[in-house]
Amino acid sequence: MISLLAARNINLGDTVTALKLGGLAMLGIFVVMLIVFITITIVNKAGNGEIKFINKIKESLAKGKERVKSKKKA
Amino acid sequence: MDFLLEGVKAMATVAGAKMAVMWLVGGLLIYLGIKKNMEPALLIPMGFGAILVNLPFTGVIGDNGIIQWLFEVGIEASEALPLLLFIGIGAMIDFGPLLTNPKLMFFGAAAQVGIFVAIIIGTLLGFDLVDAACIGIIGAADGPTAILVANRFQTQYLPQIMVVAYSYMALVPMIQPAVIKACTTKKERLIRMPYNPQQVSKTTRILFPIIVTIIAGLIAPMSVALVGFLMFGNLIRECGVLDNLSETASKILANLVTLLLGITIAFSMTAERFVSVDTLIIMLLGLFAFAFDTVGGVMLAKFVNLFTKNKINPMIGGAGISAFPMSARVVQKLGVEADPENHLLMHSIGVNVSGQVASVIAGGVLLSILPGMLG
Repeated sequence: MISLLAARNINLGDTVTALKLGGLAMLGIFVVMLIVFITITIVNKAGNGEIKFINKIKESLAKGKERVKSKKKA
Repeated sequence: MDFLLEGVKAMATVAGAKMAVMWLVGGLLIYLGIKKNMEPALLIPMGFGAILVNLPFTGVIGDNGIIQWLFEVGIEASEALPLLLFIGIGAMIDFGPLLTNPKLMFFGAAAQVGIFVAIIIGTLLGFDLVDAACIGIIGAADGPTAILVANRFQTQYLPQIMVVAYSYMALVPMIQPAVIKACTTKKERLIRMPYNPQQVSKTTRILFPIIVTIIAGLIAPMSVALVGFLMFGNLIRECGVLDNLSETASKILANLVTLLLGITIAFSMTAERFVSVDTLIIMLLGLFAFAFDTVGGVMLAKFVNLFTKNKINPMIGGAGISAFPMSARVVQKLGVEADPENHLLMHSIGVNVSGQVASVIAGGVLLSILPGMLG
């Protein structure tokens, strides 16, 4: 096995680059997952009515719709 | 009469002997598919294809060869086959358990570490960085991602990578329990995790594939083809108005592409490329990749447990690889083995589907970063 490995052309420069690649790529994967996590959490909470700000927007939209309806009727 | 013996005479050479070895490899793949039920949809076409392309003067490769044409058009030129398969896979996946508990996404991310450990070890074993990266992607535990990355980087090891990736995916129930047990204590395996099912709104289900595509596209543009097709399939499933298309994608399209993909990949399984010491090393690296993926997921769960009150059973981290649903089942089985009342299936399914997303993102990130590093 050792003689097999010795016959192979090992480039330690590639190993160093591979280490950098691994670090950067794992960071990239975690960043994507983190942003997706934050966004989905917000969407979930908004859907369950747990975010006051979005609740207010929903309420004002509903009020606006009612106003438009009542104006049309009038 | 000589023409009748040409093929037989060709077998009496060194090249012929290598071809015979490939018949055995093909036979082994067919055997594993049929007898051991290991990814039969892929291993059987690949095994048969390996025999087809390793017959002397075979008519399936060469200028008018059908398998060569399928390879050049379906994989080499456009990567259409693996990408189309992603639409089918996306249409099959229910991201509900993940959306119920989005924290599980991080375990999927952690369980990609095996890819990069395998790349580092690969360079230490004498593979150049590009080949090592293509071999490392076996750790994505995702056949189409492995094919796409390996083909994009034009590695000579595509057939070995394919065979090893699909074989280890089928071997997950044998590889993972040993690794998970080695990384966890009996006490940790006994941790119970109550499951509180929550309603996931239709809006969330529809927004999820769109959000993932946009975010992955902004951070790793090269991942758009992979992530986009997977998420497109999922959007068709979740939108609720394309049931016929969703069913076609998850059944007919996925089956048809799988059928063609297996036999098409066999194009590169010719004896002169396959029969080498490198193949054995790639098998070893693939095993490392799967093992370290599992370790990565388990270790993240252990790390999180240092800071949280409601402890996580670290075994669920091991389900962060993309092999769905085998990996989730392995964790459920280990949980029940430790304590018959300890059901971890829903948590591990959530981690498992997060692994599917993460593995595709890992492939895309690799495609984005590596060319820049090579200069």
